[in-house]
Amino acid sequence: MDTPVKTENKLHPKELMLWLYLATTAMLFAGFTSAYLVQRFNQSWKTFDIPLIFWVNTLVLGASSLTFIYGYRGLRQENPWQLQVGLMATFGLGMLFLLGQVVGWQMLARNGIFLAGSHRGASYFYVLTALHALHLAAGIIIIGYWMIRALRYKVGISSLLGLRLAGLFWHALDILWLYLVVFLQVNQLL
Amino acid sequence: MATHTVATVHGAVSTAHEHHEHHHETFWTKYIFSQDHKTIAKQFLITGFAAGFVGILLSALFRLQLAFPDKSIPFLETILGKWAPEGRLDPNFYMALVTMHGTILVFWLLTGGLSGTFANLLIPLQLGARDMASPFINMLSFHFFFWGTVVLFASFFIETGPAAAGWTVYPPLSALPQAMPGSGLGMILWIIALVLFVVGVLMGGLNYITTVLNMRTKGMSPMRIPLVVWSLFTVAVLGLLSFPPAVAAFLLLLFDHSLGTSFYLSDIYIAGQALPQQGGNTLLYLHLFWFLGHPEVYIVLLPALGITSELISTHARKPIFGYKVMVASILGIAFVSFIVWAHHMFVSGMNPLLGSIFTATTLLVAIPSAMKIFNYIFTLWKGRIHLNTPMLFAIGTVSFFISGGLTGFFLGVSSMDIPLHNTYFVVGHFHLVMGVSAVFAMFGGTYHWFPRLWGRMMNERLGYIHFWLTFVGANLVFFPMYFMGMGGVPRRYYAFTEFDFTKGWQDLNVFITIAALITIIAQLIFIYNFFHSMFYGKPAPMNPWKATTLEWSAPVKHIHGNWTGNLPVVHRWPYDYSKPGAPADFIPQYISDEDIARGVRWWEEDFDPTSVIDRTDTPSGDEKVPTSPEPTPIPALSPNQKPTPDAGYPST
Repeated sequence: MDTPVKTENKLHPKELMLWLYLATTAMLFAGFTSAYLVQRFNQSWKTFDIPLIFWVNTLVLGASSLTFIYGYRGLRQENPWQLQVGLMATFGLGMLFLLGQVVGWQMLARNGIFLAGSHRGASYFYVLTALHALHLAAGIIIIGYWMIRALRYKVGISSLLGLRLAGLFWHALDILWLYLVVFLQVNQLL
Repeated sequence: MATHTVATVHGAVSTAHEHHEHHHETFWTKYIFSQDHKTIAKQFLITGFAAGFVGILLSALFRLQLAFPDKSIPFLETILGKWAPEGRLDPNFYMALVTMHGTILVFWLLTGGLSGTFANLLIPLQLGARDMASPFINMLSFHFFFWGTVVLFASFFIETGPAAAGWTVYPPLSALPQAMPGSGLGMILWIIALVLFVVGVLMGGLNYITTVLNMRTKGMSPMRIPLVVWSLFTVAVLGLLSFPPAVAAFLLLLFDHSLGTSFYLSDIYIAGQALPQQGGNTLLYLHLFWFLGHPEVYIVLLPALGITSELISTHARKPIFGYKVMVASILGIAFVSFIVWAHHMFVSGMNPLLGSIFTATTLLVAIPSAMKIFNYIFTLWKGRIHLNTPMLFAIGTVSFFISGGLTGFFLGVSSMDIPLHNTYFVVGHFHLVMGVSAVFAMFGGTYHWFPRLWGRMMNERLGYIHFWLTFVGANLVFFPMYFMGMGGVPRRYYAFTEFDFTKGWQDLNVFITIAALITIIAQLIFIYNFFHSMFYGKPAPMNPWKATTLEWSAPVKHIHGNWTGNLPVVHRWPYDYSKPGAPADFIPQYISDEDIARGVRWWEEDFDPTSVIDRTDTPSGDEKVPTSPEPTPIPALSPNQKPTPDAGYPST
């Protein structure tokens, strides 16, 4: 669903700023993943199996994006209940994702795959996933803020922009995770 | 409407709006947590200059060491304590001094200080905006910068001293805490400071780009934007693309340093003991660092050249020669700057074929750079040149850009770079082309826009003395370094008397040190002039330089929102100087042809720009629309209430 009222073809300044911020995040991860590729084809590089839970988590995060869209439509379709449910589900799924990441890291550690040491594939895996998790934690705080406001009926139509920006950030982290998990998986298979 | 011609800090330009703009300001909201872009510009200017001054004082210390490596200077022990036992600088501390000098001047003075000051001051004012797109993020931008400064300077006061691996902090020296004292806690603080700094710069950059794209006043089409704003905008884009990979490099470095990973480390033996880290690659750090590092040169240089464009055009009373070419060269330099980084790494062991490719792209930089020089000279040609302080500094910038830039050819060619790499030739080159050149533009910009910031003029006579001492001094310091470099004298060495092949240069080192000390002392004249003029300078008229750009049409008095009434509407490009047939040698951007026909006398001392700006047909009360895109508060949704779709959706 698109915004029906657009007086001009310009992005709202805050939306533009968010897009620019996302560009810096993209460059940050581009920096990390290109560093990964530079070292990937080194002789001493070792691959390892990525636990399935990281893929399950991908579905969890994808679902959270859908629940966010559901909630956002609730706001637009005059349905505060739908907004509340959508945001609570998004928040819950976000937390579940973080929990899943922690479980995944523990499984890796049980298999003897640690951050420190000379196993650079593992080091990159931890750095990339942890950095994404940090971003996602920030996203959860933002979603949590809107959820609490929605539960107290403090979200009106005037919050559309703010909620849309929160959603943009959340979806971007979803896409970033998809990129990372595919990137990391493909590099284990090669 | 008042018609005061003199707007001073304490006086004048009163309007009906003013009193309610000033209600709730306390010391904290006005000076510390200000969201006003003009105050933030002042914060960046003063913090940047203060950091920069400490940075050059550090160079005084290591210059003393280089001139008199075997002499005891008891005074050093008095001020430095354990870092100068018996009056001789500790070698580890010497490395720390060199590192911190580079870090402070490149990042704090010439990136944060230069862009932060002039982007904050000029982008909203020259584009006719009330403030930045997000004044709050703008405030945060300065505060991150400031706390980065605090962390960086805190590292002087820790047991092991500040980072000491050179300003580029190459591993393994920077990645192994046991390598040298400066590789310990100092290195961690350096990385934290840099990350805070980058966050600050990026927050600023997001604002600059958004403001330029979204907040321009009516009539400010892209080809009417002053060149300095074009360059600041381009620099913000460069920063946005190049700083994040550098953060990635620094974070991986921090992991190697403190958490035992081996991204950059492999096959290292310390005192016969092999380290466990295997398989890392130092070259990776170099690639990531220089992917920032080279655009960083233009992040420093482009604002300087933008400022120079304004200064030369205004003080030569001539339109800038080749405006569109200037815009194209800014964009061209920005683009090329992303594909030249490996010319810093010709001797690093990378593939020689890559070296020849990067040689070719590096030499491409000469084309847009030469276009700019050509245009500066042709702007000056047959102009009515006013050799006042801002103009002198602008010409100085161009001269250093030439004398430093020409040696870039030597270093850009991989075969020539092999003997010259890591010698004083490089030190001379980058100090002239980006260091002194950009500092001169910053001085020139400060002298030029000081009346816009504080409503008073800086002292011209002191300005002349400052200029000539600094100009001659900087040449005497850095030009001889070319000869030392060609003689093979390496940079970052602690004492040249230790080696036969460098002993012959000792007299020249003494000469350079004396010149450097005189140049550094000359900066005290500037500091005195700056603070004295702030309070006691000659009150400035509203448009002291008879300039065309919009910042001179707004009152100097601290008004949040810049213009008291309407926003100015732009009718022409920013360089209408000495236009044939015009009644004065400049036509401000907000003067329309109808205004000229109407007989508006904008060149007169007591002209009040609001008489033109507020006359336009723009509906009154527009002042809140462009700055606060916040929708009007609407009562929150209660469980059974039906909202109107998109009521209150902000239109930009």
